[in-house]
Amino acid sequence: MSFDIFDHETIQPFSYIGLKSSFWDLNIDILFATWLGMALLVALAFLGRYCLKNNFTRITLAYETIIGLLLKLCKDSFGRVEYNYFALISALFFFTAFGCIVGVIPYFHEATGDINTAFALGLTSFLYVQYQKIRVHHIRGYLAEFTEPFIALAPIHIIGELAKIASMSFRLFGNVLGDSVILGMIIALIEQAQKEFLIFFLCAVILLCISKTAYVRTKLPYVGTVAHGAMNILFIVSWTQLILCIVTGIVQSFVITMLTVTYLAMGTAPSLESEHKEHS
Amino acid sequence: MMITPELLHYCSAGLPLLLGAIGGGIGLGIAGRGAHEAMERQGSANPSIFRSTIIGLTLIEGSAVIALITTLILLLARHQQITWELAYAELGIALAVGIAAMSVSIASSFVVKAATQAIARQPLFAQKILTFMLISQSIIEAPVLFAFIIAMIIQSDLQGAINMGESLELLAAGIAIALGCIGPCIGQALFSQASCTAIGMNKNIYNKIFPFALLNQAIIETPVIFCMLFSLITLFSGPDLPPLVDGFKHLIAAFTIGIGAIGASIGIGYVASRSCYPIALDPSCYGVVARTSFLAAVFIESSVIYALIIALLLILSV
Repeated sequence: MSFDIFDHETIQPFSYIGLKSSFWDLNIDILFATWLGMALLVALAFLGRYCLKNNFTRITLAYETIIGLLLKLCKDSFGRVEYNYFALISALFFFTAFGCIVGVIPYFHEATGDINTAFALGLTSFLYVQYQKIRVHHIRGYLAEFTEPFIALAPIHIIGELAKIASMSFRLFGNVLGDSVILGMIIALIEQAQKEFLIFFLCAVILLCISKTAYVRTKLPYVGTVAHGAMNILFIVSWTQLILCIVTGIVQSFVITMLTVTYLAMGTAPSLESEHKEHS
Repeated sequence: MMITPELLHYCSAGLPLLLGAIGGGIGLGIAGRGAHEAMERQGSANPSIFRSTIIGLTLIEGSAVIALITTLILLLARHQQITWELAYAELGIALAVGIAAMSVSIASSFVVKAATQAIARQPLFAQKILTFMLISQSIIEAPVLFAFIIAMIIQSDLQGAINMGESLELLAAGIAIALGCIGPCIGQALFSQASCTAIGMNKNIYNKIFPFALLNQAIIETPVIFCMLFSLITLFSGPDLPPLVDGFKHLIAAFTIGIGAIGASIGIGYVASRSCYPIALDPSCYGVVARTSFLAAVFIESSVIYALIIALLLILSV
C-alpha cells in the first residue's frame, strides 16, 4: 500500500520565454482548489448581499452571527472596535477556512495544505503587521522597539521576528496536510478492506436483505440490527474523519487569524512609558 | 541471538503502537483521575465535568489511533527483500510516530485534568473553559500530525533506500522530529495546566488569558516546527545516492536540532506558566507581565534558532 503526498500535477507556463526553473512551476491541483474556494466565497458573499437587500431574516441572521463573533474577538483583543483592521482579519479567516474545506470535496486537495499557499498567507499576515506597526509608531518608534533593553540585542529581535513567518506558515501547512493525509489513509484502508473482504461484504448485504424481510415477517430485531451495525461501522468511521477534517481546518484558520490579531494588538498598543504616564 | 534485518523490521513495526499505547494509557489515567478529583470537589458540576472529560479523552486517544495506523502501514507494506537499509529507514518512521504519540497524549492529558478542576472551581463558566480546553488540545496535537507527515514521506521514499547513506538520511529525518516532539510537549503540558488553573482562579481574566495562551502555545510549538523544517530539507535535498559520510552528517545534525529543541521549549514553558498566576491575581498588571514573558521567550527561542542554523550548515555544506 503506497500513498504519495506530493503527487500534484505541475505545468510550466513561462517556459517559452526561458523561465524553466522550478520556481515558475504552477501547481494545477492546488491552483484549481484555491480558485474553487474563492468562487465559493464570492458566491456566498453575493448570496448574503441579496438576502440583506430582500430581508430574508434567517439567512441574514446566520451571516450576522458569524461576522459578529469575529468582530467580538477583535474587540476583545484590541480593547476597542477596530473596523480598519477587521477587513484583512475576516478575509484571512474566511479564505483559510474555505481553503481547508475545499479538500472535503472528492478529487480536490486542500488549498492550504500546500506549502506555497501557507507561506503566502504567513507572509501576508507578517507584512501587514509590520506595516501597521510603522503606521502607528512611525519609523522611529518602530526601530526603537528592536533595541528594547539595549541595542546589542537587536539581531535576536530581528531573528525572532523572521522566525514568526516560518512558524505561522509551517503550522498551518503541517496541520492541514497531516489531517488530509490521515483522511486519505483511512479511505484507502476502507477500500483495501472492501477489496480483501468482498465476500464478507456480499454476505453482509445478503444477510441485510434477508433480515429486512425476516424482520417484517417474524419480528426478529437482533439479526437486522447486527448486520446493519456491521455495515455502518466503516461508513461512520469515514464520516467522523470527514467532520474532524472540517473542524481541524476551521480551528487552524482560527489559530492563524487569532495570532495575527494578537500580534497586531501587541504591535499597535501604546508603548509602556505612555501607559505608565496615563496611570500616574 | 542473531540480529537480522527482519528482526529490526518487525520491531519497528511494533514500536509505534507500543509507545502510543503506553502514552495513551498514562494520559487517559491522568485525565480520568483529574476528573474524579474535580467531581469530588464540586458535586453539582458533575454533568459538565463529565461532558468535558469525555471530549478530552476522545482527543487524547486520537494520537494513539495515529500510532495504530502507522503500525498497520508498516505491517501491511510488502517488500521484496528486507535489507538493513530498509530496516533502518523504517526505524526512523517508528521512532518519529511512536515518541510523538507518546509525548502528545501525556501532554494533552494534563490540560484535561486542569480544565476539569477549573470547571469544579467555576461551575457556571464551564462552556468557556471547555472551548479553551479544546483549542489547547488541538494545538498540542499538532506535533503528532507533523511526525505523521514526515513518516509518510519516509514511507514513500523507502524504495529509494538502496544504500546506507540514503537510509541514514531517512533515519535522521525521523529522529529529528521524534526528539523535537519531547520538549514542546513538556512545555505545553506545563503551560496549559497553568493557564487552565488561572482561569479557574479568576474567571474575569478569560478575555486576557485567551490570546496570551494562544500566543504562548504558538511560541512553545515553534521548535517542533523547526524540526519539521529540518526533516523536510533533509528529505528533499541532496543527491540521490549519497556516500555514507553524508548519512552520518545528517544523523549528527538531527541530534543537534532535536536536543536543542528540548531545552528551549521546556524553558519557555516554565516562564509562560509562571506568568499566568500574577495575571490571575492582579489583572491590571497584564501588560507588564505579558511583555516580560514574551521578551524572555524570544531570548530562549534564539537558542533553538542557533541549533537550526548549525544543523542546516552541517547538512547543506556537503
